[in-house]
Amino acid sequence: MTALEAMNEIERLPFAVRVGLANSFRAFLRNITSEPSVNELLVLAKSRDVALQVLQRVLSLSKLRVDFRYLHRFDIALATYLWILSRTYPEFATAGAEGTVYLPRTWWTEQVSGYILGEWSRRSNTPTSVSGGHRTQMSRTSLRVPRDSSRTRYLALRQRKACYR
Amino acid sequence: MAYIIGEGSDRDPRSIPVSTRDGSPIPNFRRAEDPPEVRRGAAEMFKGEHGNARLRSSSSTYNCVGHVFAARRTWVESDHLPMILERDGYSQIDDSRKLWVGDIVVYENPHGEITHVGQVVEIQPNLEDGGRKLIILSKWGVYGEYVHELLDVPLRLGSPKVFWTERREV
Repeated sequence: MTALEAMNEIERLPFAVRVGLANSFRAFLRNITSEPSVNELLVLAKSRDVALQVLQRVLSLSKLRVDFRYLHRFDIALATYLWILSRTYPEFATAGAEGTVYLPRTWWTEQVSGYILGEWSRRSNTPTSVSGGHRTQMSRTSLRVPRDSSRTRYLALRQRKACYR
Repeated sequence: MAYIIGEGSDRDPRSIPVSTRDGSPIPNFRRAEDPPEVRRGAAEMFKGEHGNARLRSSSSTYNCVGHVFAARRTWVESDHLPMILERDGYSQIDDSRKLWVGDIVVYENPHGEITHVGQVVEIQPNLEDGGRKLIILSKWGVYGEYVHELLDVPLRLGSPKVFWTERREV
């Protein structure tokens, strides 16, 4: 499977339906990691060129016109791409999260962006990462996101985003 | 770790006031509706894979916990379920044969994580083994609300593991 094929699969409806069978953020992450196309892209995105391709896809999807009546059509795909980047090139994940944090109608993307930009979610009091079939406490280390001032920027952006809701 | 003061509480504009029987607040978030084509596509997929399950309603603004404990008004992460059951005074039922209409079924994945919750809405005689067939009403992830048999849920929603009731003796 090429990176393009994997991304096409991730943006298809059946993928969204399978991954959307989640009642918590942790279940969502577990669903992502169960998808063959995600695991393929995760391996491919260890190459800087492919990771850049994924980031470009994130940025282009985030520029699509949003129908304010509904959730973003590519919410799940965006969240998946950001998660993949957070595991391979954290600096690209941060750039992607900053590009999507403005999007008004997202759900999973907002939560993944929140983790990447350092606004650790309190929606759940329990661990949210998935690793080898066992629960592990999510940490900066597990997401491989460098500590920087992004969180402050994210909080400011998030406040602006709340105006759209 | 950083906190936004009041996120998920009644001060958050995306949240509504919901609390347990003892008054403890239940963190929740109102989710936007998925586009109609996504909900239609999901319904078609589930129709093929779970032909006996009947779609009752299709909305993505709440999840299974929001369906059972927040009257379909909002999304409540399934991680909060143990706290809700405890503070609402639920007690565990050790045998599925003791289940009755209105009782709660909690589904778990092989790792022991809570993945889903549904409510018993009907009990039918099972003509195959002389036992009972439990009919459940539950919300499947961000997709539809289905009336289905106990085991007839998508794989990712796990399997029924624990049963709860809030019934009181007269």
